[in-house]
Amino acid sequence: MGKKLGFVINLDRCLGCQSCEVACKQENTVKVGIRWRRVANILEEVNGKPFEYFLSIACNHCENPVCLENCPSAAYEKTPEGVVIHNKDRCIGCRLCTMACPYGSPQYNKEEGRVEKCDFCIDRIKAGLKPACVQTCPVEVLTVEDMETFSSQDTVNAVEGFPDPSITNPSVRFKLPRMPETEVGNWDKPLLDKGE
Amino acid sequence: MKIKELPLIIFTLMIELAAGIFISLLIYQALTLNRDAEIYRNVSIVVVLLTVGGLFVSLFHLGKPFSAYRAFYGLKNNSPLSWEVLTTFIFLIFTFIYSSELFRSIQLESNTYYFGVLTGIIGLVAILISGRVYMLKSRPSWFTFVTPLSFLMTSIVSGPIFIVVFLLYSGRKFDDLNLLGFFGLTSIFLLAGLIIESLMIYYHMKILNADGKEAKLTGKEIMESGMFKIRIVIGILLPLILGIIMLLAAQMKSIGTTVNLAYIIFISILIGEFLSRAIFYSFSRQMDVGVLEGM
Repeated sequence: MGKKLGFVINLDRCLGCQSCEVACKQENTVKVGIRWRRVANILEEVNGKPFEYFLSIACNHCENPVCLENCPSAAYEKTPEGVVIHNKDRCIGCRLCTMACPYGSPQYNKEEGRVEKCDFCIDRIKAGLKPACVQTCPVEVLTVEDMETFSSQDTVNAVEGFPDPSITNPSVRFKLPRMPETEVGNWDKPLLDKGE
Repeated sequence: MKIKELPLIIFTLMIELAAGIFISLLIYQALTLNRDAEIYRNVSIVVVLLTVGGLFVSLFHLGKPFSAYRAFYGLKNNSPLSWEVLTTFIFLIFTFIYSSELFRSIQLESNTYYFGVLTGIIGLVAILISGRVYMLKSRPSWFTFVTPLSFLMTSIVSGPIFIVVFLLYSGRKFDDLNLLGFFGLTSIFLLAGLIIESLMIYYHMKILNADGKEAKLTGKEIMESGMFKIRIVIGILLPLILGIIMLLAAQMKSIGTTVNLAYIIFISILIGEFLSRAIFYSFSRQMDVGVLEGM
C-alpha cells in the first residue's frame, strides 16, 4: 500500500445526493448530528452568474495534522498508509482538535464525551476494499490515490469554500467542475467542454 | 451571544490571577523591603488555592474528566496543551513549597525570596504557554500576538490591585508612607496596563478587519456585541478613571478615598477581564468547508 493515501474528488460529477454521507454513517455507526463525511454546497459567481456545485469532504488525513500536533492525550496517530486515525480510548474530550482543524473533521460526541472522525475506513483498506463512501458513490466522485505517486496535473489542492491548504497540507485533490460559458438565452452556443 | 467554554474562561482567569498576584507580591517585597513572613504566607496561600481551584474547574471542560491525567501524554508530540498543564502543575508545586517555607520562619529568608522569583518566572511561562495553546491558524482571531499578550495583561492589571486590596482587607495599617507609595505605584501599574489593553483592543480590531472573511466577521460581531461595550466601560474606562483619581488621592494622602477606590477598581477589573475572556472564547469564527454563514 502507498504511504500517503488521500481522496481525489471529482467536483464536476458530484450530484449532491449525499450517498457518501449515508454510507459513511452506516459503515461506522455514526450518531445523529455527527457527520464524518459531509456534502457542502459551494456557490460561486462565474461570468456574473451564480454557479453552484457540491463538495464532499471528510478528514483530509493531512501531512501536517494539527489535530495530532495539538492533542494533549496523544489520541491521534498516523498509520504507514498516511491515514490519521483517532483512538477513542485515549481521548479525554478536551476538544482542542475540533478547534484546531480548519476543515471541521474531528467532531465532538457529547454522549460519549469524546471526539471522533473519519478514519479512511482503514480496516476496509487493509482488507483490500475501498472506503464505504468511495464504494457507494453512484457517479464515482471519490477515488483513493497515493498522493506520493498520483499525477495531479488536472487537479488542484484548493477550491472556493475550502480553507487554505498550506495550513495542514491535506491529502486531497480536486478535479474542478466545468464552468458555464454560454450567454443567457443563447442556447445554440454549446458549453465549452473542459472535461475528460 | 451565549458565553461558551465557561470552565476554560474561569480556569485561565484563575491561573493568570494567581500568577499576577504572586509576581506582584515579589515586586511588593522588592519595593518595600518588608520581610514579615505572614503577608507572604497568606498571599501565597491564596495563590495556591486559586491555582488548585483553576485546575479543578478545568476538569469540567473535559468530556472525560477522570481521564485528565492523560493530558501529559501529548508531551511526546510537543502538544502546547500538555505543556500548559505541566507548567501550571509545576507552578502549583513551587508556590506550595514557597508557602510551606514561610510557615517555618517569621521573616522572609533570602533563599525563600529567590525561590519565589523562580516560581514567578514559572508562572509567567505558564501564562505564555497558555496563550500559545490558542494560536491556531484555523481561528484567525486567535492567531495573533494579541492572544498571549492579553493573557499576560490579565495578570498585570489584576495582580497589583489584588495585593493592595488584600493588604487592606487583612487590616494592614495604611498610614504608613511606604504603603501609600505602594498605592500610587499600583495606580501607575494599573494605568499602564489598562492603556496597553486599550491599544491591544484597537490593534486587534484593526488586524481582524484587514484579515480574511472569518476574521472580519469575528471583528464585526465583537464590535456589535453588548458584551464588548460593557467590557470597555467596566473593564477599561471605569478603572482607568478611578485609577487616576486613586493616584491623585494617594499623592494627597487621602486614605479613605484611596481605600474605597481600590475595592471598586478590583471588582471592575475582575468583571472586565471575565468579559474579555468570554468574548475571546465566544466570538471566534473558525475556518470550515463551505460558505461562511453571515458573509
